[in-house]
Parts: sequence; structure tokens; C-alpha cells
Amino acid sequence: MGSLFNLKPLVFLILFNYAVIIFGSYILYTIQVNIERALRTMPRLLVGFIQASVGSLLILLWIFVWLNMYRRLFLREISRDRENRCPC
Amino acid sequence: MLETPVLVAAASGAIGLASSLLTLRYITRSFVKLGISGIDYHKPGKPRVPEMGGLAFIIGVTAASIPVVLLNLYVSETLGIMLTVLATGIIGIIDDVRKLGALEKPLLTAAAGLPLVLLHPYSGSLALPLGIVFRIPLIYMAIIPGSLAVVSNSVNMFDTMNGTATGSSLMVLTTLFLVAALKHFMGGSFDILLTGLLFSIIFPPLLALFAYNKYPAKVFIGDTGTLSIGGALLAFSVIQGCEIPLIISLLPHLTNGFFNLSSVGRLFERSELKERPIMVSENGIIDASRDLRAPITLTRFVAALGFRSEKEIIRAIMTLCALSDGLAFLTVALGLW
Repeated sequence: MGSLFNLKPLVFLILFNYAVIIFGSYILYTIQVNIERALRTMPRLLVGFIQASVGSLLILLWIFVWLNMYRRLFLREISRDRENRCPC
Repeated sequence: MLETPVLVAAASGAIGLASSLLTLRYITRSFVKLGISGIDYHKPGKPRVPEMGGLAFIIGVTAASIPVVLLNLYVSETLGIMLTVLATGIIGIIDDVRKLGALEKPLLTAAAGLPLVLLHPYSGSLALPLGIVFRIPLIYMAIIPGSLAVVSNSVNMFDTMNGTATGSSLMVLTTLFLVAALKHFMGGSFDILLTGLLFSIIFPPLLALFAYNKYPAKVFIGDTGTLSIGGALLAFSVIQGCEIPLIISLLPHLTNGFFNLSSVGRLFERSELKERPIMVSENGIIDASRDLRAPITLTRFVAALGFRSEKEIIRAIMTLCALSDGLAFLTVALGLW
């Protein structure tokens, strides 16, 4: 019988992603505004390209962290589960 | 008198509910005899259950939308919901009848976003948390088809246990409605009549479907149901401008879909999988597969956390969905969005 308390790795993962959505969008916005200010003298198209690249890179970084966390948490649970079942 | 949106919403909700229930009655009585059925592998005895119950949702939403359109109320918004549900539903029917390829399905569901793009019942602004608003009409238009493919297929991949897709979608829809209502009463630019009208078109057919699909399922909704429900959720949030609450509410769905894909390393169809993520014993006890090549689905993760029966796993998944929905609502209540 699984207790709802057992769900904490998945709850942690949801809370992590929630924090990224809430605060990450503000961080992303601040970075974009600062890029625009710093590169004011450069052509508009180039600034847009740099902003898009930085944005995509940060989103990929989020996905990478999310993916790794999920995998690690799962592997930890599955090995713990195996230890509990195997009498050897 | 009847033209008042509140009465129309009540009438269309009743029409949607009645037509969905009638369709579901027909499906439960006839589809197994017609050979349109699937096996419920998670139950002892592996019973046959009628498939394609999602037809009731499509028929319900269409029946509820027609009077609203005929009365000339919020025509582009209502047609946006109806045509998105119809288009994604037709793709679901095709997929249920003759399996679509792993790449065909997301591409076709993305194309189903065209009616919504062309009808343009949205503002084209993207409101992010903490008061950041991007006015991006062209980019917004371009991301609708992609978002539709992601949301529809996430709901589709979430349909692993009885009632998980319908129950969680019901919770997401209710959250979006509450979020829009809260924003309206907090002085936002939300049109509460439109919100109520769209909610009354989608909610009753979804509720009827959940009543038949919840544990122990009398009907499987099939891709017909999952894709069209995903389409309805996306269309509702786009029209209401509630994209961020939708993403927060769908975090368990997105996590499940995303890690399904990443652990297999490509787009795939469930039937292609050689390594199953869970194993079901004769007495209905569910075990997480220890094969590292099997996809790390949410169900497998929950099973690895000690939830061993179908009922327990459903309860755990619904708890995670309730948490995400609660967070989405809290975000608005605290003024973070």
C-alpha cells in the first residue's frame, strides 16, 4: 500500500518546475532587456538573433536539468525498491 | 429572452450532457458486439471494454456549440472550440481505426490547429508571471499548432489507467475556469460570460465521459477522446489567454509525455514498445519494470514508489494533478499571474 507521502520525489519535481515557470520567466525577461540595452548600437536583427539564441539556450538548460532530475530520482527509487524486495 | 448568455449557457450545457450520455449509452451497449473494444490489462480476468468513447465528447461539444453559434453569440470563440475538437477528434478516429505513424500523429494534430489560427478568437498577447506581457501576434499565431500537438499528445500519453486522462482534464478545465473567473473578479479584462459559455460547452460532455471512464471503466475513450480533450483544453486556454495556468496545470502530463519521449529517444507509438514500463500480475498487482530500456512513464515511477494496485496508482496520479491545479490557482490568487 503506497502512502501519498511516498510521492515526494514527484511533488519535488512539480514544485521545481513551478518555480522555474514563475521566476524563470522574470529572469529570462530581465536578461533579454539587458541584452537589448547592452547591444543597442548593433543591428536590430543581430540583437534579435542573440536574444532568441540566449532564450532557447536557457530553455534547453531547463529541460536538461528537468530530464536529469527525473531520471536520477527514478533510478534512486527503483534501486531502493529492488533492495527492499531482494532478500539476498 | 433566451438570447441572454446565461440561459444559452445552461441550455447548451444540458444539450451537450444529454447528447454525450445518449452516445455513451449506445457505445456501452453496441461497441463490444461491433468489435470496437480493447482489453483492460490492469484488471484480473482482463475484461473487454468498448473503445472510442471519445466520440461522445465530440458529439456533446458539437451539439452544445450549434445553438450558441445559431444565436450569434461569441461566434468565432465557439466555432474555435468546436472546430478544434472536431479536427483533433477526426485525427483520433483515424488513429483508433488504422494506427497513425509516430510522426504522422503530432503533425496532423498540429494541422488541426488551423481553424483556431484562422478564426483568430485570441488577443495575440502572452501574459507571463509577475506582470510580464509580450505582444507577439505573429509568433503567437505560429505557436498555436505546435502547442496543440504538445497538449493533445500529452493528454493522449496520460491515458494509461482508468479515468486518468478524463479525470485530470476535468480538473484542468475547472482550474482554468476558476482562474479566469478569479481574474475577472479581481478586475482583469476577462469576459466572465464568454468564460462561462465556453465552460458550459466543454464541461458537461467531459463530465459524462469521466463518469463512464472512471475506475472501473465502462468505456475506453481512445485517441478519439484524448486528442479531442487536449484540443478543447488548448482552445479554451488560448481564447481565454490562460496559457501559463494551463502549463502549470499540465505539469504531470508534460512530465509524463516528455520523459516517455526522452527515455525512448524518439517519437514512438505505444504498440511499438518491446519493453513495457509496468508489469501486471494475474491478481492485478502492478510492478515497475526494472529494464532500463523501458520508458520512464509517470505510471512506472508511481509504481516504483510503492503504489501497487491500479486504484492506488490512479489515486497517486490524481493527487499530483490536484497539486498542479492547486498551484495554478494559487498563482492567480496570490497575484503572481
